[in-house]
Amino acid sequence: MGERGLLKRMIHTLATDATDFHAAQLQDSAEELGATPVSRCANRQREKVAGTLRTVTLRPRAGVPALEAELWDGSGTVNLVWLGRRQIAGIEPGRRVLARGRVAALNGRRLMFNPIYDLLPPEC
Amino acid sequence: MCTTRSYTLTGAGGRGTASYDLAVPLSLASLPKRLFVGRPLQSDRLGETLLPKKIALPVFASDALSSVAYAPEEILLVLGIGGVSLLHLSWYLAAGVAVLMLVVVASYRQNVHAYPSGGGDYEVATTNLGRSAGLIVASALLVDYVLTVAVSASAGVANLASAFRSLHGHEVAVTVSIVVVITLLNLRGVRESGTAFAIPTYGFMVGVGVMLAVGLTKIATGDHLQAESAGYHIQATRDFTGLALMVLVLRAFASGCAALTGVEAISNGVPAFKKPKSRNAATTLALLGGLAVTMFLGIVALAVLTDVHVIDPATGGKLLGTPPGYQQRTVIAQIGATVFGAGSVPFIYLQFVTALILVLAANTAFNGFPVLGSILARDGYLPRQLHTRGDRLAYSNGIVLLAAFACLLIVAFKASPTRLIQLYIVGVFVSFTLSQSGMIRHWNRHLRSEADPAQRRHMKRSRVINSIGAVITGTVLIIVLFTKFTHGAYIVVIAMPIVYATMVAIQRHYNTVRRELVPDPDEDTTLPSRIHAVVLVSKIHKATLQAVNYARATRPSTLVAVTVQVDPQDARALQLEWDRRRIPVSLVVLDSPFREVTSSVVDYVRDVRRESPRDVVIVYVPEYVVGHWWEHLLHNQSALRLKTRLRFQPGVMVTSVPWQLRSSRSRAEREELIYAVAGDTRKGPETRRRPTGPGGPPADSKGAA
Repeated sequence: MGERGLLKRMIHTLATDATDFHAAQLQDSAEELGATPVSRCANRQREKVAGTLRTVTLRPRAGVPALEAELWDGSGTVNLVWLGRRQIAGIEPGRRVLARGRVAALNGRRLMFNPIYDLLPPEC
Repeated sequence: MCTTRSYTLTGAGGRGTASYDLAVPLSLASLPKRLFVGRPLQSDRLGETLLPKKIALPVFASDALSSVAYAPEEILLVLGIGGVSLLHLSWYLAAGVAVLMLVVVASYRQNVHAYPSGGGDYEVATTNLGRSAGLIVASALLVDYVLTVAVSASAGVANLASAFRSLHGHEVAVTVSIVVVITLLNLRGVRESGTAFAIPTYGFMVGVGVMLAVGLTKIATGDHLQAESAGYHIQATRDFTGLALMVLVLRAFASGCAALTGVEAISNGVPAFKKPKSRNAATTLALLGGLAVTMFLGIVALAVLTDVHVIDPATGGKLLGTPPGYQQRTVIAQIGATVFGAGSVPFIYLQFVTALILVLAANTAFNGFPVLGSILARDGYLPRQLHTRGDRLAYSNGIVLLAAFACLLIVAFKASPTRLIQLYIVGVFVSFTLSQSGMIRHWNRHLRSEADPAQRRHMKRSRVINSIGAVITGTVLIIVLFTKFTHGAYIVVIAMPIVYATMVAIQRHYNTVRRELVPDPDEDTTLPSRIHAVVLVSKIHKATLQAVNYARATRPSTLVAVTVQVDPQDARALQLEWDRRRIPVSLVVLDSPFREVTSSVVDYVRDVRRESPRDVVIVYVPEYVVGHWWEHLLHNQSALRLKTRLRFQPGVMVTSVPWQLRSSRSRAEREELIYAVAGDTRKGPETRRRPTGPGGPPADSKGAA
């Protein structure tokens, strides 16, 4: 490590600060809401997760209607899938959401089909 | 002109494609380039740039011949430091230089026969003495080529200023502009310049020949010719006796050795000769040696007989008894004025051709430097661009590089030939010595396996010639280094190792990269299992829709359009529009908590779900093609940043989907005008073609784009 290591760490801290800080914030607020960190969600268990929606996918009209959104809580991501619907008012990128449902693992991804959700106010 | 051969018939291959690529609108810089450099030549015309002997002599010999215009002067200048009484020594020094010249020419005649590939000294030294020796020779020659340009052009302008006094004080500007003109001539290609350069060289030979004949005849018939400076007395800076005298004489000899530069140019230029290359090159060398020695001795003789007195003001020497405002002319100018009369037509002619041939001597370096540079680049010691032939089949990058360095030297040394010459010839003698030593080993090696007695005799004779050459040039190198070191040669002694180290570093880099890229014996040739396509969308417009269509047409395993939500309202509007247009592709809206597009996309691409490690991601980036440079500042900036970042992601390809804006089309039309050639108007629009793409669909489709 030594001097160079210190310098590198400082640059690293400056560069990743924003994202890391955001992650820590999200984990704190999820804990307050009594949600399970996504990284610790077990397969085939009902879980409660809380975080922000990182991506929202609008599927084309042709094909199976479904709305997919990726929830990130600072520890990991879980994909929320609402079948039969193409859009839900309020489900949009950047929104904080509390979701309850059964976690399914598919190809290394965590999925939650038709979760019960609460739209949370933006963090202060 | 337009050939009627079809594109495939010319078989231009890779190089040919490179030339018709020019048909794509590139830059506004191409108009002046076409004007000055000329139309691009097809690769198959490469053979036509070969030189017959009568053209090769002036092209390659102008350097060696032209140095007779300043080498005698340098001898007189240095001897003049010790006063008039030393000038009679110039006889012996001139004889010494002449002998040296004959020895070197004889040695190089062996070289061109043994190594006709144009690698010259570099190849000889590399083959026989190893890589390091080769690189030393190469760095020495590269440095010396630059100096050849600087010295010759400066000396040419000095001679011009001797005839046209109004040029005094503007030497630097004139010299630099002359170098620029030579550069442009060379960018046009060797052969054209070869023909243009033949006339002045022969003109110079005739001029000096007539001057020597007339002058010597007049003296022989009892005329008492006296140079304009004969009456002025040289004030010696101090008395030189013993060792100091010897050093001074040796220094004068070393300066006179400048007459030898340029001999090696022929050995580097053998491939440019017509067949039989080696024999023609050897004959040209012999001709060159004979001419140079005759002219050199003749000029020294006339200078001594007519009592030319010159001094180098930089060394503190003084001419006594000069009229006020006296401006010292070059030695050749003084002799010319004495023989023909100052201001007479033959005198003006002589000065003019002297200046011209000196300028052309600079051209020798323009023939040698780029070829050597390209050989070094081929061997990986210099950037590969130096190995690329330009539009006119000359090594354009090497030519430009040489001109740049030469101009730098000219400006730094204020275009003074006397100051520049102190740096000169160290490199040439380094390469002389190493290449002659290499040739001794060459003959030793061949003698070991040769059985034919006639051949053996021949080889043994060559070995003797090269041995003499090696010993003598080695001795001269030591003399040159010893006497000139403090006068400027140290710069070369510093520069050469720098060039050497740079070349070694470049080669090390190329080797590292090559080793890194060597495929394993069991290198994976399996295809990527899946392709995940991602189209970047910022707004819905023609360019985006085109990108989506193109991406769909490639039939990837998965395909999504991705947009970054910077403003929630915009994102919602985009989603609605996407839905309304029924675009059959999922639209992923990315959150960007810090309103930063690049990292959001990079993170998304990195996390694209891959079912196998061999999956690849293609990112389609719609981009505008614009016609003006300032439009670049307004568009594509985020695309550019994104591409730069994504390139560091393994397993990610970035595809640019260009959309040609109207301004780019008008620019393409402008380019079209530039490519117009004489006679286009008369032929009408139907037959109008770009000169580089003689028919053939590839050029047409490019033009339509």
